[in-house]
Amino acid sequence: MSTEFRSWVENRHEAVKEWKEKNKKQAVGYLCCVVPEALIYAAGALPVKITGSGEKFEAVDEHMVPYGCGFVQSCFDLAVRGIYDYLDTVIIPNTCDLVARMEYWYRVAAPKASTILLGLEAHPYVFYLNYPEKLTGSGVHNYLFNQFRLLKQHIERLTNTTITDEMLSQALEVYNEHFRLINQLDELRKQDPPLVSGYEAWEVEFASLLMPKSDHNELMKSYLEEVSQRKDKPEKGVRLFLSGGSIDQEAAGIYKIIEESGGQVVSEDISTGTSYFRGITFDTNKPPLDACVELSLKVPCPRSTVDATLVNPWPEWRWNYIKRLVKDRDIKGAIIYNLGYCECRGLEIPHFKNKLKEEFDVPVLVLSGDYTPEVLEETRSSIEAFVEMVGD
Amino acid sequence: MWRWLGTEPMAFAGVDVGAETVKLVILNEGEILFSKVLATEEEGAVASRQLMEEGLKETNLSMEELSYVVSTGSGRATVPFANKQRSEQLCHARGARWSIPSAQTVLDVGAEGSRAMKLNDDGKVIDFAINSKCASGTGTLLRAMTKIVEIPMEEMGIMAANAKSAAKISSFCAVFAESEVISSIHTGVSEESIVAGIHESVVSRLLEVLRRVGLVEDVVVTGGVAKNIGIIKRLEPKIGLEIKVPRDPQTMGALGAALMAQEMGGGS
Repeated sequence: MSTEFRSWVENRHEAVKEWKEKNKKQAVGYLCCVVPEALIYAAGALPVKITGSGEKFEAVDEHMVPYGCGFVQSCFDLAVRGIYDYLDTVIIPNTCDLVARMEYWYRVAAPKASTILLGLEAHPYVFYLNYPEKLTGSGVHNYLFNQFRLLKQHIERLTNTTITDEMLSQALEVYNEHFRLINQLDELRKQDPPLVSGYEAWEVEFASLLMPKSDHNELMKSYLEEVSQRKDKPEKGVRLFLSGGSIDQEAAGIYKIIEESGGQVVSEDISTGTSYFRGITFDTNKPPLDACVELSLKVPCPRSTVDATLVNPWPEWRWNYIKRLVKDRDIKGAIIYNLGYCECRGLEIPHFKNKLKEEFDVPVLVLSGDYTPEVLEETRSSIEAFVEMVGD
Repeated sequence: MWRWLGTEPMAFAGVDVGAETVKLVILNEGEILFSKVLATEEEGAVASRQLMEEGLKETNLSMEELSYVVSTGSGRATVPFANKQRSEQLCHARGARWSIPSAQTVLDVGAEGSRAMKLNDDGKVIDFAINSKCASGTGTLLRAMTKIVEIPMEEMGIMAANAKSAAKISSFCAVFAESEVISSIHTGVSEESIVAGIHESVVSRLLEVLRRVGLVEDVVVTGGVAKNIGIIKRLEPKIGLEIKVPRDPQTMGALGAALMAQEMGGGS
């Protein structure tokens, strides 16, 4: 069953193209977790998470400085090379400095023809989602609501559909079921040994960022049934927590290195998959667009901050989320894998390192990557030593 | 000995395959029977076998009489006769602690990398930091510099230890540091000052690694670079602590591996 998820992950571009061909509908690319996928889904389009690749850059150098996040550079390189040309529109949030500028770079280096009316684009290819930096405050809900309303109109024009409250509510039900099923999968990892390996769980989750959620949900039901009857459990491994940024199909190699070194990731805080949505769901009693805003404002992405006057200001706000992920997992150590130049995550590392040691009494290994497979491989000796150290 | 007594063989070996050398330690009942460093350009499998043959001949043992072999070092996977592989961090810490029981912080400086390990009271590694991506802070940089200043390594170390001043070699990159040294030679900076500056630049990288794990006495330095008195004497005032160096610092990884082999193989 997991081979169907794998097929979407390994052939992601072809799989989306096939889906488009078969369904005669649009594919909407987006970056980061704060984009309301459910809005796209409600319009019948396919939300597709944009990720990079392990290939050498071909087109990015003339637009970006070399000392920038390798993940964003890779995503942009693929766009310029036309690899993502099958996307009918892309949504760029301002989730970090580099991602925010993707709007400009996309327009300049990967332009798409657009109808011009009175000197303005009638329907721009790139939609810039201005997400609030601070997630607390009296005006933030209304502000984001307005942003989502504009995005809704953008999607409606693209798909030539009016997204009614009923359509959006149905989409939220599908997404809530997705969260529930992923939570079930996550529960299986609490066991010792876990019923699924860290990499397998990541792969199953990651497929949901490419395929329609309803299809994913159906596959998940059979998959969870199959897993519960499995005789061959994964290697026991040294139980570890992983914190990392854009752990996409390239960076997920770290799961494999950890497993090959005798470790097993049993919980993670990563910005792909649904770790940001653990324990939260859409409130279906609320008007659906409000429910989208509420959920988006709960996403504990390290790029955001909260009001410093609250009881739990940054970085405690993020730490409280990490604690939820770590407790009940019986972890023996934590690995923080930070992509170079990611200041959003880099800034919180010293705090988390101390907190993990103080509150969970576990050693922490901090690794730095640059998104290339070569540098990822260089982390192997440190991971091997770390697993030996905590498993000793 | 056991052959006379008719008992099972209980000898253990540790092999450390590094970038420039292979080290072998053979142990029996906690006693070092053989310990040697072999400088080689051969690949790990060939060099480790060659050194093992020498070790067996010297100790009058056969391969079958070795109960367990652990390999370590960057080339540990190439040792064909190893029963188990273990990381450099754990092996160097184990070897250093065995040699100097008061060791709490161990700094291993080899040809291609440096690493600091923090130990708890039981000698278990509880944290480590490495500098493996850049040649600065390693023996490779020092070796490259011996060619530029045309002074042998040992002499360079003594010169650095006694130098009154040190030229500023500021670059954190080994290649750029080389340019800085050449530039200093051309501008007439004294040989002694240049050599001291080279050592200072390596020490500054080692300090970074040490600070990441935190300094706790006793600090023990292992690896081939530990034999360089210039590094030790210039590092000591920076950390404000006396540094201890085992008698044969370059073999600490192999010794640690042999001690682990003894533990895994059921030795005493």
